[in-house]
Amino acid sequence: MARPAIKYVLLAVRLRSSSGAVLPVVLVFAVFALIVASLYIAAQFTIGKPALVGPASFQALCNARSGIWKGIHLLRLPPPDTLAKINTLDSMFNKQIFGNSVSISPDNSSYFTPGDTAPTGVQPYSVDSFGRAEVSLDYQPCYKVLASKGEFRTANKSVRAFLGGKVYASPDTVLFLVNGFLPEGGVVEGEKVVRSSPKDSSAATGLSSPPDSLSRTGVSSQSGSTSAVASKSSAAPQPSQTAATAPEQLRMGEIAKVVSYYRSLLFQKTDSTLPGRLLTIQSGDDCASVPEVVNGSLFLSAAVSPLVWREKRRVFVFGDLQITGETSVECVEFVTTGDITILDESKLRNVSLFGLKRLVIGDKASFSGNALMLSSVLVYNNARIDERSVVVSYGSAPADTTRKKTPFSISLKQDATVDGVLIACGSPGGISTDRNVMVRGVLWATGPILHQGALFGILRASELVDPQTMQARQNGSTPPLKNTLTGSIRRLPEVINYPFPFFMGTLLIARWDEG
Amino acid sequence: MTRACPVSPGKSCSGGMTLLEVLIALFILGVTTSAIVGVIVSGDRIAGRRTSLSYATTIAKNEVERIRSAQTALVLLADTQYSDTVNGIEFEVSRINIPNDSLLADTVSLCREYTVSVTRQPGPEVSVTFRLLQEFNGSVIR
Repeated sequence: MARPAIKYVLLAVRLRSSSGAVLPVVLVFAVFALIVASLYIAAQFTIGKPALVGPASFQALCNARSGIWKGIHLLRLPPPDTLAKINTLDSMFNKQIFGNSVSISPDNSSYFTPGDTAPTGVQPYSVDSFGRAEVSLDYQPCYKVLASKGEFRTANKSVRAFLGGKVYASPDTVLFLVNGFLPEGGVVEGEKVVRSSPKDSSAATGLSSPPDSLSRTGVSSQSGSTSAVASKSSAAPQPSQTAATAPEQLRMGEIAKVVSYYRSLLFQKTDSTLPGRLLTIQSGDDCASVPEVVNGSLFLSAAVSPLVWREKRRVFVFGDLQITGETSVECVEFVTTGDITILDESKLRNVSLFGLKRLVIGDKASFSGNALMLSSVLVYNNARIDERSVVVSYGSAPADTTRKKTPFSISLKQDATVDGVLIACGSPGGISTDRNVMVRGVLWATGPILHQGALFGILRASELVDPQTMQARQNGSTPPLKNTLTGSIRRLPEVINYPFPFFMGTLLIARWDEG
Repeated sequence: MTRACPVSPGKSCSGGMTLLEVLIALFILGVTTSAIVGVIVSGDRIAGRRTSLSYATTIAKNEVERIRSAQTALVLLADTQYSDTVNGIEFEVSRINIPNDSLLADTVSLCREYTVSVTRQPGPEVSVTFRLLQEFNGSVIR
């Protein structure tokens, strides 16, 4: 059937023959024109699709953002049985409006359970035609992560808010001491806050009680020439207070919760694992093959070629974690039972670490992110902690009992550089810095601090000690209690913007992640 | 003028354009042309709508970012209405604070619900409307 038709068309279009030529030619051109027109309209739709989908996608993003605010709103709401009576005649009614900030209630878990895999559906708006959001709360070692997934029609968008702490401090405050003695020696440029009543038990135990009295000293270049400029009795902590009272806001109960959370995760993962073995990764291509649970030590070594691992995931390591060579790791969260060692020229960016044992960062390695270690932290050589990271050493793990006794949970040695917040709490809860160490940010310790380096920011300690005092104590003698500084402490105006872990200070959004 | 007509024994002359052929050809041409014109017109309309929609969405995004940036300035934004022009196309922008009863229980929060609408003025009806919540109490570390 087709062959005679083709023959007819071919005959019809012959140039020498004009007989019966018009209709087939018109038909051919008509079909061709319609095909072109169809392609044109299809192209228009294809090109226009992003613009047509764009508004829905943006509304989904708005829903995800709104889900975060709604989630924070729910976190802040007190449990139904403890709703405060609203008295509009109260002179302090709605006083929060006039403050700089309002905290998110940290202990309210009536709406969200951290780590609960089932998200809570929320309707952010007064009408439901604009879509909805699903909100869930999870832990990172030093942050609570409020995740929201916005939905509108077929579009989905995700937003994560990292809830950290904020300790309010005067931009001039550089030193906070709780043993009642002014520091001797060293260089202190800024305001010193010394609590005259040596009662640090509340901070050490996490009880949030206001200090008895405060003595604040003025700005000076040498600590020996300080003079008291103000003395006052403190009231209940307010957001606008200085660092004098804010460090008392350490909530040990919250630390215990997050430690318990990670321990329970480790316990759950242990059940499904076989006896351990060493897993060595030497190529970025192999990183995808790293299982969620590494039942043994994990060794990331870029000995042969640079190793890049960029992935948002949580990896459990039942053993030591060692990262060496030119290894670059981003966004991964490691939960380990052994030591974490970061050496050579390794670069860890936006990485979360939770470890039952030590954290060692050495050589030219750099780390940024947040870390909560149940044992000591050592940063030495040219190692760096960057980008306003948060590193917390919480107590001493049982494995450390065989090591040499030292009052320092965090040690910064040789030419280490830190940009962030280092917190030593629990026992022993001290921090030491060597002579060439430079720190931008906060050194916060429940115990003593031996500071010989340069600090730009805030230092908080129960006591400032020098090497001689430490030597005397190790020899068994008891030198008189005083604060001796050998390093320098200077102002860092933007230190108020450094994020603290969620278990300190006022709970606020430390980081916002969309995508 | 006479037309050459190949004459074959036993066959009639069937060559040349008959009136019927011409009419059918004209009809097909007319239908095809009108279809193509329609397609081009609607294609242009899609392109125009796409452009307007893209502009309107961008303007709305700007307005939403304005609301978000007010979060750090601790400024509670009131309702507003204004005109904005992009590449010669004029848009009417409105930002309206919507009462949300579910947020009233939180006496601490300064969380507000907003509607941002952008409508092309004048011209073909192109309008986008977005809804969002925003808090204004500075609960973000900067």
